[in-house]
Amino acid sequence: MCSFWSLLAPRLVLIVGALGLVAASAAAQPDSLRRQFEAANEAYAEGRYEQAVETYRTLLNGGHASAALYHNLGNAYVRLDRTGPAVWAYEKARHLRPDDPRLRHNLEYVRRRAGLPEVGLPPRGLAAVVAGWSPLLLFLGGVLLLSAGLVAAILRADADQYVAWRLPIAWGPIAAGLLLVVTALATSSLQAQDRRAVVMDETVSLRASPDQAAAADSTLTGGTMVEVRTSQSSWRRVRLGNGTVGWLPETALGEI
Amino acid sequence: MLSTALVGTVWAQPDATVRVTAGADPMEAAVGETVVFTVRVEGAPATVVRTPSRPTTVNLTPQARAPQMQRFRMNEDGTVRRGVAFSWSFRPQREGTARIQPITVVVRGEEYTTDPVRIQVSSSRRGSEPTLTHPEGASGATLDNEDLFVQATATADRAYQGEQVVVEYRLFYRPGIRLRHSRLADSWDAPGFWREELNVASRPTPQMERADGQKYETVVLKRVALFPTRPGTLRVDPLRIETEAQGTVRLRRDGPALRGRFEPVRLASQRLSVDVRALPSGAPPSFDGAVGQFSMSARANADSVAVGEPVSLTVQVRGTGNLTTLSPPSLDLPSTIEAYQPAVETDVERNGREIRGTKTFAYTLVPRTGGRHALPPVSFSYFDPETGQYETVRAEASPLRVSGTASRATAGRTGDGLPVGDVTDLMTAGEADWGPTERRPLHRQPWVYFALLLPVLIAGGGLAYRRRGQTAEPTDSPASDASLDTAQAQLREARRLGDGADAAVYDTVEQALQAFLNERLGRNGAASTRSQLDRRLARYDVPEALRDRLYELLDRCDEGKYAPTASAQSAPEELVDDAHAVLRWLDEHLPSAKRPPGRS
Repeated sequence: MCSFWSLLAPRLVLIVGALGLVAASAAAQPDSLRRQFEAANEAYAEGRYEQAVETYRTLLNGGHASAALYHNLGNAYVRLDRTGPAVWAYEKARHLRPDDPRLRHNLEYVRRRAGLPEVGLPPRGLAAVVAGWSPLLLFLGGVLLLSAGLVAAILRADADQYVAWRLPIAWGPIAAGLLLVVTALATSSLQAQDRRAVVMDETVSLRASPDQAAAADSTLTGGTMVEVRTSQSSWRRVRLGNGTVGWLPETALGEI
Repeated sequence: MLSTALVGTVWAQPDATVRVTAGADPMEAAVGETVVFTVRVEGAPATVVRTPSRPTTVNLTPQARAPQMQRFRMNEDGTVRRGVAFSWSFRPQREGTARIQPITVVVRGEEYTTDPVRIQVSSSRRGSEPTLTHPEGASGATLDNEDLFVQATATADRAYQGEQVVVEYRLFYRPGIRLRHSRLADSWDAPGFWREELNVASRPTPQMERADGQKYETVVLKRVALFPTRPGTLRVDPLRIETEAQGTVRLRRDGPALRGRFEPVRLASQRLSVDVRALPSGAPPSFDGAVGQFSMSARANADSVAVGEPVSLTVQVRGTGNLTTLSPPSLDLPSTIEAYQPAVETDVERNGREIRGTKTFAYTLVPRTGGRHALPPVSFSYFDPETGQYETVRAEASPLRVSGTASRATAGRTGDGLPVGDVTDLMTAGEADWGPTERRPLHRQPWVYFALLLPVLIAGGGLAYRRRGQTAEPTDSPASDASLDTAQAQLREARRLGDGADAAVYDTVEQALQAFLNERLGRNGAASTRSQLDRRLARYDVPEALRDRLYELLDRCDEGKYAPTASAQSAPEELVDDAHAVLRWLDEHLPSAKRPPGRS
């Protein structure tokens, strides 16, 4: 047993060291992010909303995102009376932090002010079932149960057995773990297929075909939520909450 | 006075008692006026007449799909005849000739078809006169349009776009004429105008007036303010009413005036038209369509507030003109003050002879920074049709002193601490949990599939640990452990038990062997079959000869216990010696806690 740990110990040291390096670089990153974020907040507080939006956008373009960043960006858009981008930003934030009451409140407020439905566009079918589930938590739980079941199967085996599969304490956690892992991957896939977007422009025409010259079926206002079905070059085939289907230019949409 | 009558035509009549006539009123009309096409069926009750379909037309726009139906009775040569009339309203579209195509009416299964009706359409008609008509077939009419008529007057026949023009309809009737059962005979419209009704008395007191040298009693039937929405010649429908009027008759020239009978009459005012001019160019930037005479005031409900505290700025526009359609005056506020869409309240006075009143715009302003904010003056421009010029009025509110810093305090909060009527405060940097912008879904992240190897690795590690535990700490010492000592002690005890006929000897020997095997093979004492025991011994590389000798020994014990026969029994001494020998041999091959198998 001692030799087993003596074999494992150097590897653990290596792993912990590598994690330390990663953590150190991650810890160094937020310092510059924090400064920019606070500068944007300051611009907002002083009523320089355009500048605040620009700074928040710079952070996003740098590949950094957080629910707080999207929330504050949404606030700045609200002050600039740009409903579409505001709804988009709040929805993005809610994607990262689904249970934050402030995001729900702000979305309701913006939508009510713009005369939009307050519930947005609820998911349908299986996507509605897995809405709000965390694939990561499901997956980690599954892996943990799988590991526990295998360890139990090995430790509780008789001397003449390698693995005691038939013990309930072994196959129970293993079966539950496998189920959780499969559920996590299926949830992730379903959530990825459920593509939502927000109309960013003040108004945009929903066209019958992906062509600027096609007949305009109706006009959508900024902040309207749509379900993205398919793509064709720079056009997206979308479905509205009332079931209407049509084409919108990609540039008029902000995917969530 | 224009003579209007239902122009009747008579066609092939399958039934001589039934007469079907059709006609239009008027036969000459202007573009946009209403033309009423009526089909009368006399000599048949309504129950046997199938409602005809609307006739097809040329240069006429129908106003409704279904006809208006009216039953009537008429006295003809002392005979009462029943009938029914169907009416449709149309509007001529353009100057020229309009045409109503033949229409077929089915009465008691017989078809009656009319001739087409042509209507002359002029581009405009003005200066027409009020009319009085009697229903078709009415006999003995004593009243004409000098006895009673409806007069339409407008405050102007030329106006600017958006300017208020008040049209009034008054009923004139000779003193002594009685009226009853009065009602509107047709819909009234004024295409191209925004309309605001003015109040008139529901039970008016007749006023005495002179018209064309004659004395009349008069009441106001309708008063409406019209606001032209586009330039051009816009027309106003005549007001049509139906009533029953009772006049007086004199049997002799100087005889007493006697009451006549009530006669059904149809009155129509003259048509009006208004020439509408477009507003002149040069409108100021703050002009948004207001036409009339207006004044304005602005007032804030506070001049000193804290940052984030709402201030109500009330802008009030009062005057005469198109108040209802006025847009909110735009506020040119600095970005440090946030303005919300105003609450609008319109208070229109409709009891006068024109539309006047007040429109109030209540803006909610929220200062976002502290300091002294000078609110820019509110500008409002309108076009004054009397002077023919644009006017701009300005109202200034006192400066706003805002205390505090940019951390806003909202006007109200819910029980959860969320602001009422606003978005929540900014999230701080401490609340930001940074991550990448593009987050791939879990099932597309490679580490997930590597992570699935973790349980396998853990299992492998556990197996290795266990295996290592079983083979750990090798020793060269052949020293026996406690299990061997215990078994040998049990064999010595068996030797002391006596001769070989005693089943207890066999039992003790078997127990000694089984206890040794259990200890060395890690068995839990549960009974196992010979084949299971053989597999385990083979796994420890126990030679086949030894295994056969062990099984023979165990078989001999079983026989000695359960089937004791003299021939089958061996001497106890020999049995115990054999057991000692097997035990020692097994001890060399089976691992003890201190010794691996195969070592000696």
